[in-house]
Amino acid sequence: MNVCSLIVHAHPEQCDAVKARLEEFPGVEVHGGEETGKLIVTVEDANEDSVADTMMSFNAVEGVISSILIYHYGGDDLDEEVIRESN
Amino acid sequence: MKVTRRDFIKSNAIVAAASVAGVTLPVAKTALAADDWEEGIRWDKAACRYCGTGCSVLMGVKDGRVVASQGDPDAPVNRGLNCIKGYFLPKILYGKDRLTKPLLRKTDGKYDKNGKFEEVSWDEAFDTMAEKWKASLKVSMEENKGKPVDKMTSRVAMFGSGQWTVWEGYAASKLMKGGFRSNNLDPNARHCMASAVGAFIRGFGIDEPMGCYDDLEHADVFVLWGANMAEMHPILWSRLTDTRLTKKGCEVHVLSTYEHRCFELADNGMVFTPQTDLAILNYIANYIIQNKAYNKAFIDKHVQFNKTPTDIGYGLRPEDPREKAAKNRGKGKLSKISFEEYAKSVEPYTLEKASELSGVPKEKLLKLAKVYADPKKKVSSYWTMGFNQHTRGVWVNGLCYNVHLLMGKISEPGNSPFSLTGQPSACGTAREVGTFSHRLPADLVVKKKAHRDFAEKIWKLPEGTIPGKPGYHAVLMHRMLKDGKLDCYWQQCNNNMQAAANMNVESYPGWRNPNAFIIVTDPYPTVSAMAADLVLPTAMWIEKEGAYGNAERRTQFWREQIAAPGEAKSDLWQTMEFAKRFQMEEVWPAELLDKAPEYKGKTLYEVLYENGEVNKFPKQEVTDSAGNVYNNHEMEHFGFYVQKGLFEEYAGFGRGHAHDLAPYDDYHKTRGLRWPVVDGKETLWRFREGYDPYVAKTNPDGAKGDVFFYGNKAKNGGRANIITAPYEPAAEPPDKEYPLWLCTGRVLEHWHSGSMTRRVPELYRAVPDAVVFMHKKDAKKYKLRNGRMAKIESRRGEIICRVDTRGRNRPPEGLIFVPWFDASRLVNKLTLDQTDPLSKETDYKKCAVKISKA
Repeated sequence: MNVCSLIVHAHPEQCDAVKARLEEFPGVEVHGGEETGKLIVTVEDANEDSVADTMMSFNAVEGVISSILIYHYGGDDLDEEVIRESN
Repeated sequence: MKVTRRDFIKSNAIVAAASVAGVTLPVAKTALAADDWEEGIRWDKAACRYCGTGCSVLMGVKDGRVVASQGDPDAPVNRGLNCIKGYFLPKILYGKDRLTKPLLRKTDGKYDKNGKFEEVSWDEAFDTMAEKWKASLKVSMEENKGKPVDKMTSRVAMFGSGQWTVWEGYAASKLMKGGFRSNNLDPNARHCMASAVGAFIRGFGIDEPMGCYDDLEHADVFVLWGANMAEMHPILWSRLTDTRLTKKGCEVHVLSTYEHRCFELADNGMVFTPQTDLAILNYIANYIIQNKAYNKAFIDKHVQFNKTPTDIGYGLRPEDPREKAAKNRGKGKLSKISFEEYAKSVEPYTLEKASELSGVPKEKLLKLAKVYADPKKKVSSYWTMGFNQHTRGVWVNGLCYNVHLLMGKISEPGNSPFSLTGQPSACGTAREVGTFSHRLPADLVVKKKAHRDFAEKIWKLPEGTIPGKPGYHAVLMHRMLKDGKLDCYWQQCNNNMQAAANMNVESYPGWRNPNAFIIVTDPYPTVSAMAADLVLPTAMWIEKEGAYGNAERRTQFWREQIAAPGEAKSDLWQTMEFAKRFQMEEVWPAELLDKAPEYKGKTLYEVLYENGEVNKFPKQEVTDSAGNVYNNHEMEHFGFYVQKGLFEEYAGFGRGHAHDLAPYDDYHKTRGLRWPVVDGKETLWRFREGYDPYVAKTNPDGAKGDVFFYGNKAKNGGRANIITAPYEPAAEPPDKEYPLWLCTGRVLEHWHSGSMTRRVPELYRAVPDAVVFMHKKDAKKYKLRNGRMAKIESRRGEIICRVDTRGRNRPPEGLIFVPWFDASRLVNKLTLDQTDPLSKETDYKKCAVKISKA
């Protein structure tokens, strides 16, 4: 079970297109950063171990200059445990 | 609304990325970010295990296991960034086939070189090993009888690593050079950094770059010479990309023998014929001189011009016809020339000639020359293995310095010729500790008696202990094993059977020579381990307290985070524990021992490591600022703070000599410091007053902000050396029978020989096998197709791999690229054991092959 975040560099004028291409991958969300060419991206498991495969595919996506991992959590307790209730 | 752990973690992950990128996101994305989900996780910093960039990563440990990792936001190198390999850092520790017990080849309960591996105790492993070493040491002592210290040879050797921690390298250097009196100690860094070292010493009289990573934000122009930073130094590439995208007028020039991912950002991408980088650099120098663009004031004051012998051979065995034909085989003594003589020497390298030799269009070369020649543009040049793994590696490193020195573009923010490092501690351990066959710590060399005297004094050894003749370097070790002149060979922390060139003809026959006893210390059953006679399981990376030194002179520490599995013990433990097996009488002749009678009856361990310095710091609790307590298995075992004692003794070599390191404890509190560290302050740019305290110290009458190359003060009054050297052809260019150049190297997903990264399922899946990258026209010509198997043959061997004509690397016609990480497709069966005759570093980038349908 994995959750990762990344910064994906792209030329600012291509960011919208790159965002769309990235979000075609399962478990991928782009949260912002289009204006500066630094997309804030999260990747979550869709299938066993697919996070890594997905992240590595980013380098081959058209318009991507570099992709940099920021954060990774790899515990196996992601969905089971409820941390707290909120409203 | 129910909130899962996943929601919290995701929110934290988004916040971490956004804050590193400096991007503001809507509150909804970040609202859940909080610390309380992290309950039970202990976070602590560590220097990354992989490359020479030296990123700091935060490791999250829970219940004795690493469960999370994050780029360290407080680290000046990576500022919270982490490359894709960083994701796998925790996983390299947990490969299914981790070695946990020593393995010895045996038949019928006894050691047998042709036997099968059986698990043995540490005692049996060390007993067998010590017996072999003692026999060889005895022969060496016989052979050395009556010889002066500078003629001594030895039959025992150690092959170490630029991935060793600083104290592992230092303990090994003491054991080999001071204890066993053998200079046969070389690191795998010989394969990657030796040419860079040679050029630093020749040019500046002191090793390692003058600049630092801060240049990545200060430069106006970046030039990459034989460095695929996008894949090999992704974090530095990301910083460079940031500057290129945000600084007006910033340009990126990329030179390589094939197109790779850096070309996507390149404003001027150039693919040149292998070996012609020599001609291109001489053309740039010629352009600068012809256009009178050079910085005359700088040259007059700070530069000396020199020439070096030419036609020096290719570091092959002496009977090779190419060696016999060389006029000045292995020679490198500099002789002084005038500026006019220098100008004349580069005059033949016109734009036309450089373009013709290199195959690069004239307008591209001119564009490149112009940025170097423009006094208003700050230029940073970066290079790695393209320059270093080169039969003229020292020359080509030097030719790049020539260009920077002609313009005075050096030792200031943004103007930086910068040699990048491949391994995490090639600088910190291999170079600074001096674990090369010709070196001692802090740039001292075994050849000079005064240097040996100094080392012997610090090590408390009698005069004349350290041999004065350089030992066997990496490539020579394999030749000597094969020739029966070397008997015992202990490899730690690398995979040289896979890494060394010409495996079929030199490496393998050497290791399997019936006379040889080969020991491999590794966490995994690598190609090397499988070719050895004794395999010792080791604690890796954060399973021990460690220190690495990166490419910008930054020394970084980490604490032991988790315990090693089973009976695995760190390289440091192994080196020191092995020393306990030797009585001084078994390793030193009587006449040497008579000079230090107090050592009679003692063990090598006592003399080297219980010498009152290494064991000076008593056992203590290791804690961080939050009060967390950490283990230190070596301290526990030996009964004193081993790492601290070794480091402080080692630091005695460099303090006061422009290699100053800070006190041990300081490094646990910082994200590393760049040496020289003087009065608690690190040095960002060397050789310039105002940045480097050693300039005022060595040149008290110098002007404010002026440069002074103090490494050459004794030699030439403190000038940098411009050294002219011509274009000379490669050792084995393609011909009719073998019509293609073969270039080897790395890919992003795999670190070096893949012994760690190939054990991570995701990385293995992403890039399972080495492929041959080639041009589609070549594929057609040799009746191959993308995705089909091909046989590649050289004069030394053959391998089979899949053809890739559409991949990330796009070679020109006439050249193929095959990465070397793949243990099932050993590209070093094909390569030639050619070296730079000056640095002894192998050229892995140029040999001739043919290719056909498999």
